[in-house]
Amino acid sequence: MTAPAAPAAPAAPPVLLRVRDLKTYFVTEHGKGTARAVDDVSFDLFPGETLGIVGESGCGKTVTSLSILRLVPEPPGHVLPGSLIEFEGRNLLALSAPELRAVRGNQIAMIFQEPMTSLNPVFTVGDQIAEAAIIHQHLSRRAARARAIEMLRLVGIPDPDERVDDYPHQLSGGMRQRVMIAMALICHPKVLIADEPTTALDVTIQAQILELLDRLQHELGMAVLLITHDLGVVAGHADRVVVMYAGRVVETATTDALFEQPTHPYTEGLLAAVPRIDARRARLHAIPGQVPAATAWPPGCRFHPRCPYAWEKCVAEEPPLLDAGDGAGHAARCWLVTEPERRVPKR
Amino acid sequence: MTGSAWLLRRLAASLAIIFAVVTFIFILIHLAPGKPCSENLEPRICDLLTHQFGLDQPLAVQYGRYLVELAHGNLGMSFSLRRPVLDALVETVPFTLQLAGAALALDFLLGLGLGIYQAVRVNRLPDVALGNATLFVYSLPTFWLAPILLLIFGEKLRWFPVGGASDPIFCPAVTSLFCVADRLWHLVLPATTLGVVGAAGTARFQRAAMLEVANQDYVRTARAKGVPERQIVLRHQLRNALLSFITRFGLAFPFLLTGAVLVETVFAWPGMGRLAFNAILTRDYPLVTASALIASTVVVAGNLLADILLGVADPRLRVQAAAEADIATA
Amino acid sequence: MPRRSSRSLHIVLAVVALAACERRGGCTTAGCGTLIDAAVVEPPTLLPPSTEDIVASDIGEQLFLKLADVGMSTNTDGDEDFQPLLAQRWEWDGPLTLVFHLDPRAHWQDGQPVTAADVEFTFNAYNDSVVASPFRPKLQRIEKVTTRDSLTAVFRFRERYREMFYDAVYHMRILPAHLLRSVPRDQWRTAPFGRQPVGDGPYRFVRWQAAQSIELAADTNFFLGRPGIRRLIWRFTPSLPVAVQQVIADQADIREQLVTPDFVERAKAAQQLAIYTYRGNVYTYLDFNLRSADDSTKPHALVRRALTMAVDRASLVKSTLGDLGRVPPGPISALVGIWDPDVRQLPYDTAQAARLLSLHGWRDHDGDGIRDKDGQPLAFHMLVPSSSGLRKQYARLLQEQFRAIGVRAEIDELEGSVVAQRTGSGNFDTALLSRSNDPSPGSGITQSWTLAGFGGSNFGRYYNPEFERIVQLAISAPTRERARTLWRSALETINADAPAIFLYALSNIGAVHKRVDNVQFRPDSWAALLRTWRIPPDRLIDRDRVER
Repeated sequence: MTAPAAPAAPAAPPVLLRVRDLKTYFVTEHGKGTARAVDDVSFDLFPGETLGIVGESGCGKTVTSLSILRLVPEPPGHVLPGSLIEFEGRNLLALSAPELRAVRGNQIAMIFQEPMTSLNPVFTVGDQIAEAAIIHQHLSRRAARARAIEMLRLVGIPDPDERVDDYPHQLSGGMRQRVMIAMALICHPKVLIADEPTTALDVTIQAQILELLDRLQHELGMAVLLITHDLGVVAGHADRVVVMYAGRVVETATTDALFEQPTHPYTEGLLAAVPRIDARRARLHAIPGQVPAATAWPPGCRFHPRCPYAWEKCVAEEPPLLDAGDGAGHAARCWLVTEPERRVPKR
Repeated sequence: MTGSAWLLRRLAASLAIIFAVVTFIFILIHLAPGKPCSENLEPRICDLLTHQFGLDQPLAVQYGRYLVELAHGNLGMSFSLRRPVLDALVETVPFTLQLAGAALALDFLLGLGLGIYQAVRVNRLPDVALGNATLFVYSLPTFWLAPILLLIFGEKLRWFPVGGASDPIFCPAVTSLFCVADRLWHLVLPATTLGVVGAAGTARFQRAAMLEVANQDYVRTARAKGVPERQIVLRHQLRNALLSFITRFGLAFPFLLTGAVLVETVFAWPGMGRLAFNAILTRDYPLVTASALIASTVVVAGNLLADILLGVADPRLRVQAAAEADIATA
Repeated sequence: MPRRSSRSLHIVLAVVALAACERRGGCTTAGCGTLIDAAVVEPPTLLPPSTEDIVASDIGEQLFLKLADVGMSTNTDGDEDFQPLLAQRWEWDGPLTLVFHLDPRAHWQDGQPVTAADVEFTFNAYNDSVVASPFRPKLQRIEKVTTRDSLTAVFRFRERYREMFYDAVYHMRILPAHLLRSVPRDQWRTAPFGRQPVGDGPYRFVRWQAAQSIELAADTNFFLGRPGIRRLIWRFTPSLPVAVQQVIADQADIREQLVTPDFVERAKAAQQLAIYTYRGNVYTYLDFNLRSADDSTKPHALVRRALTMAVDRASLVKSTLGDLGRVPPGPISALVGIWDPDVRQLPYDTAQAARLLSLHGWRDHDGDGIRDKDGQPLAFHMLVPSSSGLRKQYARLLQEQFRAIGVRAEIDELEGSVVAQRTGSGNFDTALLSRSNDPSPGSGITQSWTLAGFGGSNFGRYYNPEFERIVQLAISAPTRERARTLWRSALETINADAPAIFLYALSNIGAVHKRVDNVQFRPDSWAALLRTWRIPPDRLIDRDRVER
């Protein structure tokens, strides 16, 4: 029932990473149910661009990002047949283990939310940064160490010659995330998946890390898949945005279009939660209720229990991604696109 | 240096613990009912001997005397062995070290190997089969295992000697390479008895530790870097799982020593476990106390060793210990 | 894992086999031979006056000679059945004086001759309370030992009795005065000599590996003839089942006591073993504590008799020990010459037992199944050493049989050292005790069942003047026949008095490798004649031939 929301620009460069109909389900404990964490997600990533994936926790955005490199633990998770993750024309889901390893960390790299636990506590940061270079570029230990120092310098760590022998616990949170970035970028990947790269950091450090990512993206020319719950982060750094809710893509647009004309009520809610300069408000409390459990998505539009505009149709039938009509591939999974007059809050 | 200050502090604490254990054992064994004479010895002769050895003195006097002697390096005279305690220990402790060393090696090398192998093959047939096998072995009581091994491999198959530490004709003392082989040959069954149950436990422990580590974020990071699975297990998981393994290693010593009592008795292994056990049965106070001294030293040293190893293996502790020492010396 | 370890195991085996082959050749004549004894207890010292365990005595037989020794009959009466050893001959010089003439060929293994001064020195040491020898009480009737010349020792007795000669020769092994004179008496128990003895016997001490083995080598110049086996090894295996397994697996040659019917069967099934049966020196009994000064609290003779009659001793022995035990005709082991199955004993008669108890006022007034009197139930505790499986089993069987006549017995299983303490201090109701005897009826009975044993091994403090009188008469009876009659009467007296229930006396069954010829187990000391055992040259096996 889903129509792929293909970007419409005719002269667009070839797609770098194409995700189609991705379904990643989890068997819950004792096989009692199936959590449809990612349920039919499609999007494209073009070379050099930054694509933001936005949603509250539990919406499936992290599982989507892990599915790309097949890092979802199996069992309990599995990517369903029929899903497609195409990188430079190759379906990653069909690769053998060694072929997949040649992609991981080499052409597609990833950084994670929690820089402390994501670094191995018993190895020096230098060793951990160098490891990918040794594996993929077959560098000697010595050469890899030199590369690691170079990378530390690149990500703005002072005294990289000394820090290279530090253990993760000797570094601050921001420094650790810089190390993660250095580790991810040592092989100059074409795609960097950044899963909530700044969530665990305090605000000033967040900005520094995001600036660093921007700078490195320009220097190295990679595409970035920026996964965040924070539309504020997306605003300054993403070219396009995919909004996810309940395992589905609910809206996709260029960043400008999204902020100018949010179409899905969920996007609206998220935007309302972005902190303003004048008033610090709690971010997510603007949308009443919580994301439902992935084992029992609501029927019809999955957002309807929390939607201020929902009517009978929303309960009965799930909308497809509908073209919002302002060009540039802006689409939303909402009946309001067909009946805009109903955009009247009930509460 | 801060590291050595930390070590000194630990050593002092260890000495205090050993002293406390020895005092406790000294009091306990003297308060226990029973007297240091066999059932068949005439009571009046026993009384005479008790007097000769000063056992009719108040406990505080005996303890004070013991400490004075101990300070002079004199562990006293064993009643039951009729010889200096030190002589008996010098002869028997090496045998216990050989046995416990072999058992420890079996326990931890075999256990570690199996645990890692299972973690690599997790939930596949070899893992499931080994999991059941180790559970079976782990549930075997040593007092049952020892005679069974003797019956099968000693009496029936005659592959290994039925007890003893050396061939009494060829090798009353280890004087040649042949006698080294003879010693090892005699060591197989007792060391297996003492070590194999622990090895099964270690295998299960190690498998669990490896799998626990397998869910850590940094393992996912390694995978995302394209590190091969084998290297993830053997490098990233193992190094972290070793930390809990070392802790377990430090805790193994008391169990080895208590196990040695039974194994040495059944297999006629001339070690100090058997000596200590007999000493308790015969109320051989000096020998009991000296055995407690040695045993507590071994246990405390094992813990210290584990802590030192842990410091080497876990960079987080290294700094912490140094910092603690800084505070202590400040 | 099993495959790999079995491969390395085979490599080890191959090495061992190769080495064994290499050493083939060696000693191949008569007088070769190595015997390994699978011993359970390691002696603490080999210095004879300080030893109280059997293995020390077995080894002592090889190292230190007595003046003379009992024969295979173990008759201790008079001197007719005794064999000369260190003493070539002896004569009586008046009723209280015994003169020994030492064999001039006898010498210590350091080359010094054995002299009468050694005999005098030995007696004084054994008789010194500071040495605290367990044999001292048995030497009390000897007044002194003197020397007439360097080869003549004179024993002076305090009184005349039937076992004078036995007491003079049996308890003491003659010691080298020149090596022991300088050792202070209060340090004899721990003297280094005890771990490195120099003797005058058929074997000399070679080495002692603590907790492993003691090795002796034949003294080829032994004046009574070269021993038949050149090397003896006592190997210490604290677990009896494992010691038995060593003999069955052909890793040892001698297990002198198989102890349980099960072990006997397994040894019989081993092709290379020959089985030898001989009289045992142990009897076991349930001792009643008669110490209390208050007659009302100590068990009345009637009650003791009733309890004895309530126990089916013959069936108990049969079911637990089979051929390995018999009901003793009194407080004696099978070894003792006065053993006589026709001695009158209390019968097994539960009806009579019940009648006796009722007669004495013990009836089940409150209907709880236990007899009572004046509100007190007829109940007592049985003290049992937890180290003895057989006695623990017996305790349970006794408990059942007492229960059947309305008596409650509770079992206290305690460590041996605690049992020793409580029996020694009289802190018990009843105790399951074992005593080992030498072959003399006199010394064992005197020490355990008369006034002389108070503070000694008469733990229950049994005292019956009539019994004492008969025992004294028997000890000093004018003729052997008269002594026999008196001993029989003494046994019947104590049986009727029932100061204990005499439960079983052990028979010993030993196993020895079949290649050994001329095997003789003397019942009081199986190893006493080891020097006469032989291995014919055509039956030698590897361990016999080994030269080092």
